[in-house]
Amino acid sequence: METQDKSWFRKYAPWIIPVLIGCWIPTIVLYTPEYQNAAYGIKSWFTSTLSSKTMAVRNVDKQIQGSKANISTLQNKLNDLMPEKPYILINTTENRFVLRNSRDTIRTGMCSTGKDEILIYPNGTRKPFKTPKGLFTVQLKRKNPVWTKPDWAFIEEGLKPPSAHAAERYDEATLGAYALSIGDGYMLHGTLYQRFLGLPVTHGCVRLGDADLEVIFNTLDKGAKVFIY
Amino acid sequence: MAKKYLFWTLTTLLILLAGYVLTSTVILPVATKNPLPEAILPNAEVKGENNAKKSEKGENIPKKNEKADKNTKKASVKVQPVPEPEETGTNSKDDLMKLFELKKTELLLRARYNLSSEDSIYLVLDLINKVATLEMKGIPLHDSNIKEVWVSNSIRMFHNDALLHWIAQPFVLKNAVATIVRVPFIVKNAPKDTIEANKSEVLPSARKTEDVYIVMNFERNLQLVIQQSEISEGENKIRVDSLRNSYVKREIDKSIKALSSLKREAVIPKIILTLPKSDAIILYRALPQKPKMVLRM
Repeated sequence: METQDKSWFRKYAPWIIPVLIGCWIPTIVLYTPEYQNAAYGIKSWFTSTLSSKTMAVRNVDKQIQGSKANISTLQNKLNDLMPEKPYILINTTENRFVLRNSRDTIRTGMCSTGKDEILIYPNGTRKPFKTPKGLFTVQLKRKNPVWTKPDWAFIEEGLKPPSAHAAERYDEATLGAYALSIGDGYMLHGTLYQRFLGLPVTHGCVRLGDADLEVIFNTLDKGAKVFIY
Repeated sequence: MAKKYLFWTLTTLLILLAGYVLTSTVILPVATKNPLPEAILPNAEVKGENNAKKSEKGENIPKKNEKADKNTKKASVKVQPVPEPEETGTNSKDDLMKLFELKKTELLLRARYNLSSEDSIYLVLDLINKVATLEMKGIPLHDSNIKEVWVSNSIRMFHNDALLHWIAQPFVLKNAVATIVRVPFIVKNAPKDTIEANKSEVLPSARKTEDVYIVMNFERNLQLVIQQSEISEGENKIRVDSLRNSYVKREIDKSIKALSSLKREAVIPKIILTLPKSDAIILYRALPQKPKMVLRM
Protein backbone atom coordinates (compact mmCIF):
# COMPACT_ATOMS: atom_id res chain seq x y z
CA MET A 1 0.00 0.00 0.00
CA GLU A 2 2.82 2.37 0.98
CA THR A 3 4.66 1.54 -2.20
CA GLN A 4 1.50 2.44 -4.16
CA ASP A 5 1.25 5.78 -2.34
CA LYS A 6 4.90 6.62 -3.00
CA SER A 7 4.60 5.86 -6.69
CA TRP A 8 1.42 7.93 -6.87
CA PHE A 9 3.22 10.87 -5.22
CA ARG A 10 6.15 10.54 -7.61
CA LYS A 11 3.69 10.53 -10.52
CA TYR A 12 1.74 13.67 -9.58
CA ALA A 13 4.25 15.75 -7.62
CA PRO A 14 5.99 17.18 -10.73
CA TRP A 15 2.82 18.94 -11.88
CA ILE A 16 1.13 19.58 -8.52
CA ILE A 17 4.06 21.69 -7.32
CA PRO A 18 4.16 23.94 -10.43
CA VAL A 19 0.37 24.35 -10.14
CA LEU A 20 0.71 25.53 -6.55
CA ILE A 21 3.58 27.85 -7.45
CA GLY A 22 1.56 29.04 -10.42
CA CYS A 23 -1.31 29.97 -8.10
CA TRP A 24 0.76 31.69 -5.50
CA ILE A 25 3.23 33.69 -7.56
CA PRO A 26 0.56 35.75 -9.40
CA THR A 27 -1.17 36.25 -6.04
CA ILE A 28 1.98 37.57 -4.45
CA VAL A 29 2.87 39.73 -7.43
CA LEU A 30 -0.61 41.15 -7.88
CA TYR A 31 -0.96 41.74 -4.16
CA THR A 32 1.65 44.49 -4.24
CA PRO A 33 0.64 48.07 -4.96
CA GLU A 34 3.35 48.54 -7.55
CA TYR A 35 2.30 45.53 -9.58
CA GLN A 36 -1.42 45.97 -9.23
CA ASN A 37 -0.94 48.26 -12.16
CA ALA A 38 -0.51 45.08 -14.18
CA ALA A 39 -3.92 43.88 -13.07
CA TYR A 40 -5.46 47.08 -14.38
CA GLY A 41 -3.60 46.53 -17.62
CA ILE A 42 -5.14 43.09 -17.96
CA LYS A 43 -8.58 44.50 -17.22
CA SER A 44 -8.18 47.28 -19.75
CA TRP A 45 -7.24 44.68 -22.35
CA PHE A 46 -10.43 42.75 -21.60
CA THR A 47 -12.64 45.82 -21.65
CA SER A 48 -11.24 46.97 -24.94
CA THR A 49 -11.67 43.50 -26.39
CA LEU A 50 -15.18 42.81 -25.15
CA SER A 51 -18.09 45.06 -26.01
CA SER A 52 -18.86 47.33 -23.09
CA LYS A 53 -22.27 48.44 -21.93
CA THR A 54 -23.18 51.97 -22.98
CA MET A 55 -23.80 54.18 -19.99
CA ALA A 56 -26.38 56.88 -20.35
CA VAL A 57 -26.90 60.22 -18.68
CA ARG A 58 -30.13 62.11 -18.40
CA ASN A 59 -30.61 65.06 -20.74
CA VAL A 60 -27.20 64.81 -22.38
CA ASP A 61 -27.94 67.56 -24.89
CA LYS A 62 -29.00 69.94 -22.15
CA GLN A 63 -25.97 69.04 -20.09
CA ILE A 64 -23.67 69.61 -23.06
CA GLN A 65 -25.21 73.03 -23.59
CA GLY A 66 -24.94 73.74 -19.86
CA SER A 67 -21.33 72.68 -19.77
CA LYS A 68 -20.50 74.81 -22.82
CA ALA A 69 -22.09 77.81 -21.14
CA ASN A 70 -20.15 77.12 -17.94
CA ILE A 71 -16.90 76.89 -19.89
CA SER A 72 -17.63 80.15 -21.65
CA THR A 73 -18.42 81.92 -18.36
CA LEU A 74 -15.34 80.54 -16.65
CA GLN A 75 -13.14 81.41 -19.61
CA ASN A 76 -14.43 84.98 -19.52
CA LYS A 77 -13.81 85.18 -15.80
CA LEU A 78 -10.26 83.92 -16.28
CA ASN A 79 -9.71 86.39 -19.10
CA ASP A 80 -10.87 89.15 -16.78
CA LEU A 81 -8.04 88.24 -14.43
CA MET A 82 -5.45 89.24 -17.02
CA PRO A 83 -4.03 92.61 -15.99
CA GLU A 84 -5.13 95.41 -18.28
CA LYS A 85 -1.93 97.31 -17.59
CA PRO A 86 1.54 96.02 -18.45
CA TYR A 87 3.20 93.67 -15.99
CA ILE A 88 6.51 91.88 -15.66
CA LEU A 89 7.49 88.24 -15.06
CA ILE A 90 10.87 87.51 -13.49
CA ASN A 91 12.31 84.01 -13.78
CA THR A 92 14.85 83.62 -10.97
CA THR A 93 16.09 80.22 -12.16
CA GLU A 94 17.11 81.41 -15.60
CA ASN A 95 17.58 85.07 -14.65
CA ARG A 96 15.35 86.35 -17.41
CA PHE A 97 12.43 88.73 -17.52
CA VAL A 98 9.37 89.10 -19.76
CA LEU A 99 7.54 92.41 -19.94
CA ARG A 100 3.95 91.85 -21.01
CA ASN A 101 0.93 93.83 -21.96
CA SER A 102 -2.12 91.62 -21.34
CA ARG A 103 -1.14 88.59 -23.45
CA ASP A 104 1.43 90.29 -25.71
CA THR A 105 5.13 90.31 -25.00
CA ILE A 106 6.65 93.78 -25.07
CA ARG A 107 10.21 92.90 -24.24
CA THR A 108 12.31 90.03 -22.94
CA GLY A 109 15.85 90.01 -21.66
CA MET A 110 18.35 89.04 -19.03
CA CYS A 111 18.42 90.17 -15.46
CA SER A 112 20.23 89.23 -12.27
CA THR A 113 18.47 87.92 -9.21
CA GLY A 114 19.41 86.78 -5.71
CA LYS A 115 22.55 84.71 -5.24
CA ASP A 116 20.91 82.42 -2.67
CA GLU A 117 23.60 82.98 -0.09
CA ILE A 118 23.45 83.19 3.68
CA LEU A 119 25.93 85.65 5.19
CA ILE A 120 26.82 84.92 8.80
CA TYR A 121 27.67 88.12 10.69
CA PRO A 122 30.49 88.15 13.26
CA ASN A 123 27.80 88.14 15.99
CA GLY A 124 26.21 85.02 14.50
CA THR A 125 23.23 86.70 12.81
CA ARG A 126 22.28 85.02 9.54
CA LYS A 127 21.32 87.25 6.60
CA PRO A 128 19.87 85.47 3.56
CA PHE A 129 20.33 87.00 0.12
CA LYS A 130 17.42 85.65 -1.88
CA THR A 131 14.90 87.13 -4.29
CA PRO A 132 11.44 86.59 -2.85
CA LYS A 133 8.91 84.77 -5.02
CA GLY A 134 5.29 85.65 -5.58
CA LEU A 135 3.24 88.64 -6.63
CA PHE A 136 4.44 92.17 -5.92
CA THR A 137 3.38 95.59 -7.10
CA VAL A 138 5.41 98.62 -8.09
CA GLN A 139 5.11 100.89 -5.08
CA LEU A 140 7.49 103.68 -5.98
CA LYS A 141 9.31 104.82 -9.12
CA ARG A 142 12.48 106.87 -8.83
CA LYS A 143 14.83 108.46 -11.33
CA ASN A 144 18.52 108.67 -10.40
CA PRO A 145 17.92 106.74 -7.19
CA VAL A 146 20.25 107.00 -4.25
CA TRP A 147 20.90 103.78 -2.42
CA THR A 148 20.92 103.91 1.34
CA LYS A 149 23.33 101.11 2.10
CA PRO A 150 22.10 98.73 4.79
CA ASP A 151 24.37 97.13 7.41
CA TRP A 152 25.01 93.97 5.42
CA ALA A 153 26.60 96.00 2.58
CA PHE A 154 29.35 97.02 5.01
CA ILE A 155 29.62 93.72 6.86
CA GLU A 156 30.02 91.86 3.57
CA GLU A 157 33.03 94.06 2.74
CA GLY A 158 34.63 93.52 6.13
CA LEU A 159 33.69 97.00 7.37
CA LYS A 160 31.93 98.12 10.49
CA PRO A 161 28.49 99.60 9.73
CA PRO A 162 28.46 103.37 10.27
CA SER A 163 25.71 105.27 12.11
CA ALA A 164 22.24 105.41 10.53
CA HIS A 165 22.65 108.73 8.72
CA ALA A 166 26.37 108.65 8.01
CA ALA A 167 27.45 109.96 4.61
CA GLU A 168 29.03 106.58 3.67
CA ARG A 169 25.58 105.07 3.62
CA TYR A 170 24.48 107.05 0.56
CA ASP A 171 25.49 105.71 -2.83
CA GLU A 172 24.39 107.53 -6.00
CA ALA A 173 25.91 105.21 -8.62
CA THR A 174 25.04 101.59 -7.78
CA LEU A 175 21.33 101.54 -8.62
CA GLY A 176 21.68 102.96 -12.13
CA ALA A 177 19.35 105.49 -13.72
CA TYR A 178 16.02 104.17 -12.44
CA ALA A 179 14.59 102.13 -9.60
CA LEU A 180 11.16 100.60 -9.10
CA SER A 181 10.49 99.67 -5.50
CA ILE A 182 8.36 96.54 -4.91
CA GLY A 183 8.31 96.65 -1.11
CA ASP A 184 10.36 95.26 1.80
CA GLY A 185 13.46 97.00 0.45
CA TYR A 186 13.43 95.03 -2.81
CA MET A 187 13.75 96.90 -6.11
CA LEU A 188 14.11 96.50 -9.84
CA HIS A 189 17.10 98.69 -10.64
CA GLY A 190 20.13 99.18 -12.86
CA THR A 191 23.65 97.97 -12.26
CA LEU A 192 27.29 98.83 -12.70
CA TYR A 193 27.99 95.17 -13.39
CA GLN A 194 26.26 94.68 -16.75
CA ARG A 195 28.53 91.74 -17.53
CA PHE A 196 26.93 89.72 -14.76
CA LEU A 197 23.41 89.97 -16.18
CA GLY A 198 21.96 86.48 -16.53
CA LEU A 199 23.75 85.33 -13.36
CA PRO A 200 22.44 85.07 -9.81
CA VAL A 201 24.57 87.71 -8.10
CA THR A 202 22.31 90.13 -6.23
CA HIS A 203 21.37 90.44 -2.59
CA GLY A 204 17.67 90.01 -3.43
CA CYS A 205 16.90 92.90 -5.79
CA VAL A 206 16.47 92.40 -9.52
CA ARG A 207 19.18 94.06 -11.61
CA LEU A 208 18.48 94.99 -15.21
CA GLY A 209 20.49 96.23 -18.16
CA ASP A 210 20.33 99.98 -18.90
CA ALA A 211 18.22 99.76 -22.06
CA ASP A 212 15.81 97.20 -20.58
CA LEU A 213 15.48 99.22 -17.39
CA GLU A 214 14.52 102.35 -19.30
CA VAL A 215 11.76 100.51 -21.21
CA ILE A 216 10.50 98.86 -18.04
CA PHE A 217 10.54 102.13 -16.11
CA ASN A 218 8.57 103.88 -18.84
CA THR A 219 6.12 100.98 -19.31
CA LEU A 220 5.25 99.95 -15.78
CA ASP A 221 3.10 102.35 -13.81
CA LYS A 222 2.85 102.58 -10.07
CA GLY A 223 0.68 99.61 -9.00
CA ALA A 224 1.84 97.41 -11.90
CA LYS A 225 2.16 93.73 -11.10
CA VAL A 226 5.55 92.06 -10.72
CA PHE A 227 5.46 88.25 -10.72
CA ILE A 228 8.63 86.62 -9.46
CA TYR A 229 8.99 82.83 -9.76
CA MET B 1 -3.99 5.70 1.03
CA ALA B 2 -4.31 8.07 4.02
CA LYS B 3 -1.35 10.06 2.77
CA LYS B 4 -2.99 10.35 -0.61
CA TYR B 5 -6.13 11.85 0.93
CA LEU B 6 -4.05 14.16 3.08
CA PHE B 7 -2.10 15.30 0.04
CA TRP B 8 -5.23 16.03 -1.96
CA THR B 9 -6.93 17.77 0.95
CA LEU B 10 -3.91 20.03 1.50
CA THR B 11 -3.58 20.73 -2.21
CA THR B 12 -7.27 21.63 -2.51
CA LEU B 13 -7.11 23.84 0.56
CA LEU B 14 -4.03 25.66 -0.72
CA ILE B 15 -5.59 26.20 -4.14
CA LEU B 16 -8.82 27.43 -2.56
CA LEU B 17 -6.90 29.77 -0.27
CA ALA B 18 -4.85 31.10 -3.15
CA GLY B 19 -8.01 31.58 -5.17
CA TYR B 20 -9.72 33.34 -2.27
CA VAL B 21 -6.81 35.73 -1.69
CA LEU B 22 -6.48 36.44 -5.40
CA THR B 23 -10.19 37.05 -5.79
CA SER B 24 -10.73 39.12 -2.68
CA THR B 25 -7.65 41.27 -2.91
CA VAL B 26 -7.07 41.72 -6.59
CA ILE B 27 -9.77 40.51 -8.93
CA LEU B 28 -12.82 41.84 -7.10
CA PRO B 29 -11.40 45.25 -6.14
CA VAL B 30 -10.00 45.79 -9.61
CA ALA B 31 -13.07 44.51 -11.39
CA THR B 32 -15.75 46.06 -9.27
CA LYS B 33 -14.43 49.01 -7.32
CA ASN B 34 -12.55 52.13 -8.00
CA PRO B 35 -9.87 52.02 -5.35
CA LEU B 36 -8.95 55.68 -5.60
CA PRO B 37 -10.38 58.20 -3.19
CA GLU B 38 -12.65 60.73 -4.77
CA ALA B 39 -12.47 64.47 -4.50
CA ILE B 40 -15.34 66.46 -3.07
CA LEU B 41 -17.24 68.04 -5.86
CA PRO B 42 -19.06 71.33 -5.46
CA ASN B 43 -22.51 71.30 -6.99
CA ALA B 44 -23.84 74.72 -7.73
CA GLU B 45 -23.88 76.84 -10.85
CA VAL B 46 -21.63 79.51 -12.24
CA LYS B 47 -22.97 82.84 -11.12
CA GLY B 48 -25.06 84.51 -13.76
CA GLU B 49 -25.56 81.48 -15.91
CA ASN B 50 -28.57 81.04 -18.12
CA ASN B 51 -31.78 79.48 -16.88
CA ALA B 52 -31.47 76.39 -19.03
CA LYS B 53 -29.06 74.88 -16.57
CA LYS B 54 -31.10 75.83 -13.54
CA SER B 55 -33.76 73.35 -14.54
CA GLU B 56 -31.24 70.57 -14.14
CA LYS B 57 -29.90 71.75 -10.83
CA GLY B 58 -30.32 69.14 -8.15
CA GLU B 59 -31.76 66.59 -10.54
CA ASN B 60 -28.94 64.16 -10.30
CA ILE B 61 -26.93 65.36 -7.37
CA PRO B 62 -25.19 62.49 -5.66
CA LYS B 63 -25.70 62.33 -1.89
CA LYS B 64 -21.99 62.69 -1.20
CA ASN B 65 -22.07 66.15 -2.71
CA GLU B 66 -24.29 67.43 0.08
CA LYS B 67 -21.27 67.32 2.36
CA ALA B 68 -19.25 69.00 -0.33
CA ASP B 69 -21.54 72.01 -0.29
CA LYS B 70 -20.61 72.78 3.26
CA ASN B 71 -16.93 72.48 2.50
CA THR B 72 -16.99 74.61 -0.59
CA LYS B 73 -19.09 77.55 0.45
CA LYS B 74 -16.15 79.84 -0.08
CA ALA B 75 -15.68 78.80 -3.71
CA SER B 76 -16.36 81.83 -5.80
CA VAL B 77 -17.30 79.93 -8.93
CA LYS B 78 -19.38 76.83 -8.76
CA VAL B 79 -20.52 74.51 -11.47
CA GLN B 80 -23.11 71.86 -12.10
CA PRO B 81 -22.61 68.47 -10.54
CA VAL B 82 -21.08 65.71 -12.55
CA PRO B 83 -23.95 63.69 -13.97
CA GLU B 84 -24.76 60.43 -12.31
CA PRO B 85 -24.72 57.69 -14.92
CA GLU B 86 -27.79 55.58 -15.52
CA GLU B 87 -28.21 52.49 -17.54
CA THR B 88 -31.62 53.23 -18.97
CA GLY B 89 -31.02 55.91 -21.57
CA THR B 90 -30.05 55.59 -25.18
CA ASN B 91 -27.53 58.36 -25.59
CA SER B 92 -24.85 57.75 -28.14
CA LYS B 93 -21.30 57.11 -27.03
CA ASP B 94 -20.15 60.18 -28.95
CA ASP B 95 -22.47 62.46 -26.99
CA LEU B 96 -21.33 61.00 -23.72
CA MET B 97 -17.68 61.35 -24.67
CA LYS B 98 -18.33 64.93 -25.75
CA LEU B 99 -19.98 65.65 -22.41
CA PHE B 100 -17.13 63.96 -20.58
CA GLU B 101 -14.52 66.06 -22.38
CA LEU B 102 -16.51 69.26 -21.77
CA LYS B 103 -16.84 68.42 -18.08
CA LYS B 104 -13.09 67.89 -17.82
CA THR B 105 -12.43 71.27 -19.41
CA GLU B 106 -15.01 72.87 -17.16
CA LEU B 107 -13.46 71.37 -14.02
CA LEU B 108 -10.01 72.53 -15.05
CA LEU B 109 -11.22 76.09 -15.64
CA ARG B 110 -13.16 76.13 -12.38
CA ALA B 111 -10.17 74.82 -10.41
CA ARG B 112 -7.93 77.43 -12.04
CA TYR B 113 -10.40 80.19 -11.26
CA ASN B 114 -10.77 79.13 -7.64
CA LEU B 115 -6.99 78.86 -7.21
CA SER B 116 -6.58 82.36 -8.65
CA SER B 117 -7.95 83.75 -5.39
CA GLU B 118 -4.97 82.31 -3.51
CA ASP B 119 -1.62 83.99 -3.04
CA SER B 120 0.71 81.24 -4.16
CA ILE B 121 2.00 79.76 -7.37
CA TYR B 122 0.29 76.57 -8.52
CA LEU B 123 0.82 74.01 -11.25
CA VAL B 124 -1.61 73.37 -14.09
CA LEU B 125 -0.94 70.04 -15.75
CA ASP B 126 -2.70 69.61 -19.06
CA LEU B 127 -1.88 66.09 -20.17
CA ILE B 128 -4.10 66.36 -23.23
CA ASN B 129 -2.14 69.25 -24.73
CA LYS B 130 1.06 68.10 -22.98
CA VAL B 131 1.73 71.39 -21.26
CA ALA B 132 2.76 72.06 -17.67
CA THR B 133 2.07 75.64 -16.66
CA LEU B 134 3.10 77.59 -13.61
CA GLU B 135 0.30 79.96 -12.82
CA MET B 136 -0.51 82.62 -10.26
CA LYS B 137 -3.66 84.69 -9.90
CA GLY B 138 -4.90 83.17 -13.16
CA ILE B 139 -1.87 84.43 -15.07
CA PRO B 140 0.39 81.87 -16.75
CA LEU B 141 3.97 82.52 -15.65
CA HIS B 142 5.82 79.75 -17.42
CA ASP B 143 4.80 77.08 -19.93
CA SER B 144 6.75 73.85 -20.32
CA ASN B 145 6.19 71.44 -23.15
CA ILE B 146 5.98 67.92 -21.81
CA LYS B 147 8.07 65.61 -23.96
CA GLU B 148 6.54 62.36 -22.73
CA VAL B 149 3.71 61.36 -20.44
CA TRP B 150 3.20 57.99 -18.82
CA VAL B 151 -0.03 57.36 -16.94
CA SER B 152 -0.55 54.22 -14.90
CA ASN B 153 -3.26 51.76 -15.90
CA SER B 154 -5.15 52.34 -12.65
CA ILE B 155 -5.91 55.90 -13.82
CA ARG B 156 -6.72 54.83 -17.36
CA MET B 157 -9.25 52.37 -15.97
CA PHE B 158 -11.25 55.02 -14.15
CA HIS B 159 -14.90 55.22 -15.00
CA ASN B 160 -15.58 58.63 -16.52
CA ASP B 161 -17.59 59.94 -13.60
CA ALA B 162 -15.03 58.62 -11.11
CA LEU B 163 -12.24 60.34 -13.00
CA LEU B 164 -14.19 63.61 -12.96
CA HIS B 165 -14.65 63.30 -9.20
CA TRP B 166 -10.99 62.50 -8.76
CA ILE B 167 -9.68 65.49 -10.70
CA ALA B 168 -12.40 67.90 -9.58
CA GLN B 169 -10.43 69.48 -6.78
CA PRO B 170 -6.79 70.59 -6.86
CA PHE B 171 -4.28 68.06 -5.56
CA VAL B 172 -2.23 69.26 -2.60
CA LEU B 173 1.35 68.10 -2.27
CA LYS B 174 2.05 65.94 0.78
CA ASN B 175 5.79 65.48 0.31
CA ALA B 176 8.44 65.56 -2.36
CA VAL B 177 11.88 64.09 -2.84
CA ALA B 178 14.27 65.30 -5.51
CA THR B 179 17.85 65.04 -6.65
CA ILE B 180 18.09 68.83 -6.58
CA VAL B 181 17.56 71.18 -3.66
CA ARG B 182 14.68 73.63 -3.74
CA VAL B 183 16.82 76.60 -2.71
CA PRO B 184 20.53 76.07 -3.28
CA PHE B 185 21.79 78.24 -0.41
CA ILE B 186 25.51 78.77 0.09
CA VAL B 187 26.56 79.73 3.62
CA LYS B 188 29.37 82.27 3.91
CA ASN B 189 31.03 83.80 6.96
CA ALA B 190 31.42 87.58 6.94
CA PRO B 191 35.05 88.64 6.40
CA LYS B 192 36.88 90.04 9.41
CA ASP B 193 38.35 92.98 7.48
CA THR B 194 38.67 94.47 4.01
CA ILE B 195 41.79 92.46 3.21
CA GLU B 196 39.96 89.20 3.82
CA ALA B 197 36.95 90.51 1.88
CA ASN B 198 39.14 91.26 -1.15
CA LYS B 199 40.80 87.86 -0.93
CA SER B 200 37.53 85.96 -0.79
CA GLU B 201 36.01 87.82 -3.73
CA VAL B 202 35.40 85.48 -6.66
CA LEU B 203 33.90 86.16 -10.05
CA PRO B 204 30.33 84.90 -10.21
CA SER B 205 29.52 82.06 -12.56
CA ALA B 206 26.45 80.21 -13.76
CA ARG B 207 25.05 77.64 -11.33
CA LYS B 208 25.76 74.03 -12.09
CA THR B 209 22.70 71.96 -11.38
CA GLU B 210 22.53 68.24 -10.89
CA ASP B 211 20.30 66.11 -13.08
CA VAL B 212 16.66 66.18 -12.16
CA TYR B 213 14.44 63.41 -10.84
CA ILE B 214 11.57 64.51 -8.66
CA VAL B 215 8.97 62.37 -6.92
CA MET B 216 5.96 64.31 -5.65
CA ASN B 217 3.35 62.55 -3.54
CA PHE B 218 0.02 64.31 -3.63
CA GLU B 219 -3.10 63.67 -1.64
CA ARG B 220 -5.59 61.15 -3.05
CA ASN B 221 -2.60 58.82 -3.54
CA LEU B 222 -1.38 60.52 -6.70
CA GLN B 223 2.31 60.22 -7.36
CA LEU B 224 3.82 62.61 -9.89
CA VAL B 225 7.31 61.87 -11.13
CA ILE B 226 9.18 64.51 -13.10
CA GLN B 227 12.28 63.42 -14.93
CA GLN B 228 14.53 65.23 -17.35
CA SER B 229 14.60 64.38 -21.04
CA GLU B 230 18.40 64.69 -21.21
CA ILE B 231 20.30 61.45 -20.57
CA SER B 232 22.10 61.34 -17.24
CA GLU B 233 25.74 60.33 -17.08
CA GLY B 234 28.38 59.65 -14.46
CA GLU B 235 27.67 60.85 -10.94
CA ASN B 236 24.37 62.36 -11.96
CA LYS B 237 23.18 59.01 -13.26
CA ILE B 238 24.16 57.36 -9.99
CA ARG B 239 22.23 60.01 -8.03
CA VAL B 240 19.11 59.68 -10.19
CA ASP B 241 19.25 55.87 -10.16
CA SER B 242 19.73 55.90 -6.41
CA LEU B 243 16.57 57.92 -5.86
CA ARG B 244 14.59 55.85 -8.34
CA ASN B 245 15.80 52.58 -6.78
CA SER B 246 15.05 53.80 -3.28
CA TYR B 247 11.43 54.23 -4.34
CA VAL B 248 11.31 50.78 -5.89
CA LYS B 249 12.81 49.37 -2.67
CA ARG B 250 10.23 51.22 -0.62
CA GLU B 251 7.47 49.75 -2.79
CA ILE B 252 8.86 46.24 -2.35
CA ASP B 253 9.07 46.75 1.44
CA LYS B 254 5.48 47.97 1.47
CA SER B 255 4.43 44.99 -0.60
CA ILE B 256 6.10 42.53 1.73
CA LYS B 257 4.43 44.20 4.73
CA ALA B 258 1.08 44.15 2.95
CA LEU B 259 1.53 40.51 2.11
CA SER B 260 2.63 39.49 5.60
CA SER B 261 -0.33 41.25 7.21
CA LEU B 262 -2.75 40.26 4.42
CA LYS B 263 -3.77 43.89 4.24
CA ARG B 264 -3.98 45.17 0.71
CA GLU B 265 -2.28 48.53 0.16
CA ALA B 266 -4.04 51.24 -1.83
CA VAL B 267 -3.15 51.48 -5.46
CA ILE B 268 -0.79 54.34 -6.26
CA PRO B 269 -1.88 56.09 -9.43
CA LYS B 270 1.28 57.38 -11.00
CA ILE B 271 2.02 59.96 -13.68
CA ILE B 272 5.53 60.28 -15.07
CA LEU B 273 6.42 63.43 -16.99
CA THR B 274 9.54 63.90 -19.03
CA LEU B 275 10.53 67.54 -19.34
CA PRO B 276 13.61 69.42 -20.49
CA LYS B 277 15.98 69.76 -17.52
CA SER B 278 15.72 73.55 -17.36
CA ASP B 279 11.91 73.43 -17.22
CA ALA B 280 11.92 70.72 -14.56
CA ILE B 281 14.19 72.89 -12.39
CA ILE B 282 12.05 75.99 -12.95
CA LEU B 283 8.86 74.13 -11.98
CA TYR B 284 10.33 72.57 -8.86
CA ARG B 285 11.99 75.73 -7.57
CA ALA B 286 9.12 78.07 -8.33
CA LEU B 287 6.51 76.02 -6.50
CA PRO B 288 5.98 76.66 -2.79
CA GLN B 289 6.47 74.00 -0.10
CA LYS B 290 2.88 72.74 -0.30
CA PRO B 291 1.80 73.60 -3.80
CA LYS B 292 -1.51 72.78 -5.39
CA MET B 293 -1.89 71.18 -8.77
CA VAL B 294 -4.80 70.91 -11.15
CA LEU B 295 -4.96 68.13 -13.64
CA ARG B 296 -6.54 67.71 -17.03
CA MET B 297 -6.31 64.32 -18.66
